[in-house]
Amino acid sequence: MLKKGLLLATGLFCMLGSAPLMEASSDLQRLVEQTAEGGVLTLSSAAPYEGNVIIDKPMTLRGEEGTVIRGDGTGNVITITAPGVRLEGLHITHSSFSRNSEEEYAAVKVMSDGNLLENLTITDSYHGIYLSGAHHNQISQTTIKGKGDQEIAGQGNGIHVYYSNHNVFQGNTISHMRDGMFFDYSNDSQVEDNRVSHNRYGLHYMYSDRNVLVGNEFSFNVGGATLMHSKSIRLENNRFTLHQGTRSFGAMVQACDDSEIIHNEFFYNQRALYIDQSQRNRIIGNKLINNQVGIELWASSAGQIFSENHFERNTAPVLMIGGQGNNHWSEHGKGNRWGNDYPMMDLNQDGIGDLPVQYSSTLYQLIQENELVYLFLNSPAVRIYELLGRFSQKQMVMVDDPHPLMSSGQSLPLGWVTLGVVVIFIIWRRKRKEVER
Amino acid sequence: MIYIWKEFKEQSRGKGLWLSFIMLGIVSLFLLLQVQSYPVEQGFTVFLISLYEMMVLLLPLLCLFIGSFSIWQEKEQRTHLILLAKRESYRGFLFKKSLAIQVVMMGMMTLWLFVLALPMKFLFSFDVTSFLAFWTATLVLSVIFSQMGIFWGSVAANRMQIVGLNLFTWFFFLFVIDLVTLFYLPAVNYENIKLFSFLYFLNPIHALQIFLETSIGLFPINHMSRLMERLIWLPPILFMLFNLVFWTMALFEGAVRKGRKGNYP
Repeated sequence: MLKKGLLLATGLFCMLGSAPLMEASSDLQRLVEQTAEGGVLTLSSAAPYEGNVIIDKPMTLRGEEGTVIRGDGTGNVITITAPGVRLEGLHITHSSFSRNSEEEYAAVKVMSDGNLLENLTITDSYHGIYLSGAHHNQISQTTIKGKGDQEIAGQGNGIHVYYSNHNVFQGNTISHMRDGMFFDYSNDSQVEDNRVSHNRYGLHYMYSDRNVLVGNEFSFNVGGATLMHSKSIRLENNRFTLHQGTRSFGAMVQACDDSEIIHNEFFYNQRALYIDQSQRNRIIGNKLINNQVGIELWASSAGQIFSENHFERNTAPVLMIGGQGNNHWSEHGKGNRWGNDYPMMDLNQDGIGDLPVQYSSTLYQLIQENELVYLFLNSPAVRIYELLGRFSQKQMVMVDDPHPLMSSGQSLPLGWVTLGVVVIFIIWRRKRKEVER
Repeated sequence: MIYIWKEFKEQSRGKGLWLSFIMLGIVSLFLLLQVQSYPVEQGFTVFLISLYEMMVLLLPLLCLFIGSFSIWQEKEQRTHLILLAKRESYRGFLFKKSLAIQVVMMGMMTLWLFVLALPMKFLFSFDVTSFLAFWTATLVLSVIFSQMGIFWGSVAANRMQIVGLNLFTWFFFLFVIDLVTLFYLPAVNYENIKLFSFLYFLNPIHALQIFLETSIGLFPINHMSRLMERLIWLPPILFMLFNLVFWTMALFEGAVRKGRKGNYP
């Protein structure tokens, strides 16, 4: 009797407990429909709301801290078809992952103009945010996290932009997706201050022109930024770090013309900058430090201008693959800084080396022939291989910089060194005295 | 236990071990100062990788010398006679001696790395898994090259021979193998990549590098070319374990069979 009573009480308790959830779940679409055009619907964080939801009028959907909208796994969780919608402070999760459907699904699909998506968290979804024919939208301060370790096709992109122009993407954090941000036939967008890591490509432009990429940070992707079949891109003040697979790169410029790559930092990448089939790009004032290959430049590229770039401690600063192209290693009498490996004289003190810098290498031939060579680029044997190459007549001139810039003097942290030496000396003296006693 | 305590006392009285660790310490601190200019999130990985690159250059040489001279000292000072008074076989003696050297080296390395972990914790975004992978890779490197040193200490006839053999081993594993491979690399293709893989990963430096880089998420193995997939046909941890077992056992057995036993039973 007592057992039955307890079971009944437990059952009732569970029913009561789940009641608000059911109500919230079934109500979300109705709540949206009940909100007046231009109105604000604030969702509580008490229970998860169940998608999927279609928003077809201008309105604001705002969540308290911890508000979750969970899709039913059959489509997009939120679909925006009207312009002027604002989504703020929501955790959106569980879109469909189906690849047999007519469309690719996302946590948020935007099909209209002038929307604002801000402070969202997106998980467990095929694409994070999908813009389809949607212009003048802003997506900011949003975190998108994928499942990561799947086959490439099994995971969508963090932000997928398709035939959508004049959009702004600012301050987002994207990780473990196929591509962090993918642009397809989408022009004139602004990508600012985003942090993109652990994806296949951090950013991927295809047939997308006049986009601006400023102040972003790419790390631990297979490739940082991939610019393909696009024109007039501006890549400025971005940081590309730790892209280290054999096919990895900080930024890849392929079939991409008339672009500007200026003041970016490339640290610890397999290749900092990979340029192929591209014409007339300006690569100015970038820092390329501790990479295996600074710039891998294929002969199909011509007319690039390299000026005021700073190369330091790269295994090979520049490799020309497939032959020499017609590229320029200085602009307006200013070449590049080649680091401490290339000692230079500047007798007239104008900041420009008195003699041209010429860098020759044998590695280009190996790289042309076999991908596996990238496994050896951090081996100390590579330096000996290059030295031996001088005698075997296989070396080819990779760079001829007529106006190399003098490196600014870098000093050792002398204060710390002195302190260390003094401490060691004092300990040694004390030990000596103890032994003498 | 007696062997371990004896080894520790001998090593700590000699200057070799302390000089080695002072050297590692100074270089590590320099790296730490240099890496501070990186962002906090990536600085940790950059520091681990830089530190490991430094370890690969220095640690094998230090382990070779410490291992070989520790054995040589037993032979030279004839302290083995006391140790073998209890009817110890040469195999047993060498096993206990190897174990003692390994424990002392691993203990010292662990102590140093965990001391170094403190500034890492404060300066960078510390990741325990990555640090443990680094610690494992460093210890395995130390074990393999210490055992190599023990082998050379056993087979060498005099001090000069030990110095020469140690330097050659270091040069061979760090330079010669890679240099020869670079010259033959164009001949490697999809058909013979398995054989190449076996030879490539038989070098503990290569196996440990891949283990470390994949463990800390630096080398992605989920988006590789078909050629690379065939090269890395086992999980990197297995390449590392294979190296650990193969080299320590082969070198130990080699030292037992080829070692100059002198008056040992």
